[in-house]
Amino acid sequence: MHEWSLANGIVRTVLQEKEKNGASAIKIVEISVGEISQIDIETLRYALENIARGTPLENSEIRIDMERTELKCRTCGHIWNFEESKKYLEPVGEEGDNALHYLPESVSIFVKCPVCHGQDIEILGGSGVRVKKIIMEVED
Amino acid sequence: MEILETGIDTRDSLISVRLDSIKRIIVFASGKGGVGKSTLSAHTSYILSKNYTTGILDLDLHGPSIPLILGLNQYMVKESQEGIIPPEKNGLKIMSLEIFMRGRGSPLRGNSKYDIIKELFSITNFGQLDYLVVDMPPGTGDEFLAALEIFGNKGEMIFITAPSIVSWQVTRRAIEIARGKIKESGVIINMGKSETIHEECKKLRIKCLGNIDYYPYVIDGSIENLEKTEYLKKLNDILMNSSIIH
Ligand SMILES: Nc1ncnc2c1ncn2[C@@H]1O[C@H](COP(=O)(O)OP(=O)(O)O)[C@@H](O)[C@H]1O
Ligand SMILES: [Mg+2]
Ligand SMILES: [Zn+2]
Repeated sequence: MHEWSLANGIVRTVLQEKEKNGASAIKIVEISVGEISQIDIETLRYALENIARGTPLENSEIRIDMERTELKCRTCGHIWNFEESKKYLEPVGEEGDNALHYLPESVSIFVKCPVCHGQDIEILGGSGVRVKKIIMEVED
Repeated sequence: MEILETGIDTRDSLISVRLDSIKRIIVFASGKGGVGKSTLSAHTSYILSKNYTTGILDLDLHGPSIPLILGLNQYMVKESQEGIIPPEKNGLKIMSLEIFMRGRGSPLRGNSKYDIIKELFSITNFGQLDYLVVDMPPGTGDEFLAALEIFGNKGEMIFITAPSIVSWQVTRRAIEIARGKIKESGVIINMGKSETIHEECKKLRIKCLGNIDYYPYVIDGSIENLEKTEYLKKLNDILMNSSIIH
């Protein structure tokens, strides 16, 4: 269900950008979703289609990419993928998953470095939901 | 012609929706720790919630204490299409990072804190509110600046200081940083009295809303036990005589 409120934010943002640029149509919207937020892409797509109905986004092409989440330990320098954390470490339990779904940036509360067990962790890429690109049509 | 827009933060548009559905935002800040920001903000939200639709947002990411002070005993969040619905205690809506981290520590640096604050506020569906009370951590760093950015146009800030000059000298800096960025409600001197701070407030041209004495029973008093105490009456009087309740 979190996917619905994200979809809300995406549609609002894109429509605001359309206004700002005085565009006549939106052709393509590219969205990236960080793996760590465990967003269900199909649900997000379904929500987007529903919310976009009756708006200038209705017939736009929407591309959604899942981005792998890379984490870096600031203490020892180790870089690893979030998926690994799930395999090797217990801290991302149900509570962790739930929190990261809503608050991906809170990763260092729940995940430890697989090498030194440090918690000073940085997300290098693949965090929340971003509108990566909007291609609009503007009349000259 | 085609236009490309890249890398846009979708949280900002949700934040403006949230702000639109809240009538008043009262931010409790200080710069100094241990002066009663959490205690007074929690109890203010409790007082307000008796007559108004009220929420409280705990922005102390390292030491969240609002759920504990208010005796929140179930941390379940419900989902809705407009965002997550915060848990309630007697109709008061409570959102805090503690609802997710549950007793864990939070080793967070600047940017993550900024992101978490934006995320926490943008995902929370408080619904229509008369009041949102915000509890700040000590300091004038990331959380403080984020609050000025998010609530600056709509909110008002109330500054809490202990009756000591040491506390005031820290609070004063927070007031000066916030000045012009957010409306000022005034200063509350908590846990005692101080003529000197009254004078200092005049010099700084900020309203001193009053003082609350040190009441030992506040420390372990659950909110229900504070009902009808001199402490809660005093806090209520200060709110009634300020521009906060009208
Ligand atoms: N007026 C008061 N009388 C007695 N104790 C108080 C009073 N105000 C706050 N306290 C106590 O002081 C301590 C610090 O308060 P707290 O609200 O956590 O400060 P802050 O949020 O500013 O760090 C708490 O134990 C609280 O119960
Ligand atoms: Mg506090
Ligand atoms: Zn490490």
